[in-house]
Amino acid sequence: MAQYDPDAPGQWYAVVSWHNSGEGGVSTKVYFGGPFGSPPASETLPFVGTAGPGIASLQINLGSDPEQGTYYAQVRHTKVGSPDSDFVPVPPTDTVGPA
Amino acid sequence: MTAPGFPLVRWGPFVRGVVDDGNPLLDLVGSARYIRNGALSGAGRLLVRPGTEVALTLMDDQGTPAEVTSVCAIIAFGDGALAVGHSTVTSKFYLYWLNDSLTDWYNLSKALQGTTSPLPVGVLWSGAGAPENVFIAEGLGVAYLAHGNAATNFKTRKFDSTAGPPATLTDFQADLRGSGLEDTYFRGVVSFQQHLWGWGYGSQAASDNDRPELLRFGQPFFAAMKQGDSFAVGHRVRSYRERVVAAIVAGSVLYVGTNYSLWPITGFGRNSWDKSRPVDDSYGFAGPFAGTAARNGWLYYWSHRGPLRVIGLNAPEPLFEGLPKATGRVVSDTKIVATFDADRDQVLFLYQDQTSGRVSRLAAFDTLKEIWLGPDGDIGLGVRSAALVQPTLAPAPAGPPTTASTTNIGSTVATANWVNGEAGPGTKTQVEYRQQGAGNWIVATQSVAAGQTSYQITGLQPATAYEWRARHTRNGQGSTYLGPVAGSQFLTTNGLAPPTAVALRFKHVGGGGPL
Repeated sequence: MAQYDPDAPGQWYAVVSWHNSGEGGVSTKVYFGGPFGSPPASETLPFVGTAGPGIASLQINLGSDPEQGTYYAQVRHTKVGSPDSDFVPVPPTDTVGPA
Repeated sequence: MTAPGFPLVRWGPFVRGVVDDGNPLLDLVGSARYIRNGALSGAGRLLVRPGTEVALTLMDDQGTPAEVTSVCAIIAFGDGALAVGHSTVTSKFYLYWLNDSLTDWYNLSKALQGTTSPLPVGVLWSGAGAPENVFIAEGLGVAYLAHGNAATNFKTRKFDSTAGPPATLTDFQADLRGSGLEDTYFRGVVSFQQHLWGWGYGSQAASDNDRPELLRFGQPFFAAMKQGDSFAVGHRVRSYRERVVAAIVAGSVLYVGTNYSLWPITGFGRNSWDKSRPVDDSYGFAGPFAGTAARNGWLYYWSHRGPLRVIGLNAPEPLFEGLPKATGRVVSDTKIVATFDADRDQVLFLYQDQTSGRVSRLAAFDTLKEIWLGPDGDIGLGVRSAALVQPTLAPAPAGPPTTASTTNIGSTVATANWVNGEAGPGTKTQVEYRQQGAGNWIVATQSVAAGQTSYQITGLQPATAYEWRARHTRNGQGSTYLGPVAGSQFLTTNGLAPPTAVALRFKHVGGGGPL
């Protein structure tokens, strides 16, 4: 668990990364939310942005004082003319919050 | 007769050449338009109607051309059309030469210009502060144009598309009083049996300028008229009550109408023309564009009492009892515009509605089913003139598309590509597709514009074998199909593979950082 000093100024970021499938013209939709006590359903995470073709990570600004708890992310590939791929959830291996 | 519940009857696909009345309450003025894809239910409503579509925006002759403020007339001409515009800014009437699909225009050098903002081929009349009805008659590629209120100000003009290039626009001269060729001031013109007819004439002599009941005809053919070549309608002669309102050819008859009488002229040339008695002494033409020839020699027209029809020398048959709703809501009978849609066998009457007061409503008479359709709600613009502009030569596509290929294949889309076999104006490409081996073709589009060489087919199923075919269409005729061939057969993908190795981490930037 990463802990921080709430009195210290600065910004917290969540960084979601992935490996692209390799298909040309594929973008990646990123969904992120939390903190949640238990893993949310795939469709309930807020959509935060789309990374263009060839991009393999997306950084999300959480502000200087994010709420403590477990955050979740999911990603899926998207391409014009094709249905989106299945969701790929991130294992909840990291959390953020006050000490 | 009315027929509530009559099945949906479509009209169109086009009635080209409805032109804007320049109604100040409308947003767009000065545009030649076409109505299309309307559907009358017969019970009083136009059910499906994208409405009118601006086809061309007519421009004036200023250094920086501006839109004209009214379009006064349109008529099929040669293998194209002529339109007349008027500007209250320049106080001029302009003549425009358009192609038959109202998608392009010719300059005086007879060259298509490739834009939808036509410039005039000439100025018809100057010093004209107000728009006016304009009559156009065609004879062998020559058009004669008359100002509806010519008086001694606006000479009859002659546009000769067979001259040159350039084509010419000159004053039309005739010997109307035995003094040799002079300029003329007809209030209307029409072409009948290879002769040009004009009415409400006159000559340059002021005392000879207004003969409201008199028609002159050219002899021979469209050549200069002579003093003795004339007909007078009416019983009183030289009465303004018997002023000629319009003259319309239907079948073998030239019907000359005053507001309250109708005079048929028949025969087989000038030596046998006869106008011995009217077919109606009570009902005539409500306005200059209130009548139209329809199929089999019938003339349909709107009188002060409503619509009637007549054929040959028979007594006119009233139709207005079948349309009381329409006749009770017309603002001005004199502004009714009639035209015949030969693609749907319907006579269309367009008129300003009393309720809205700003737009034209539509009623139509189906000449095959003998039934009234409409009246209907507005069509979105005031209508001053209307004409069915059809191609005279109707060329088919020169050849089919060639060289099929399929690109950008996804799980639900694919792009069909071809090389055009015909890319002339008015050409469209129709693309169809189906699952390989399936029976029925699905039309993906019928309207790929001329010159385009690809179309994205959508709505496909993943991991499925499809094939497409394409053909050109033009003037209602189609080429043979390209495909299905190897290049038009494809397999959609099986959806997108998901990302892998997804991870989430946090980082803190600036400040004290993590404990």
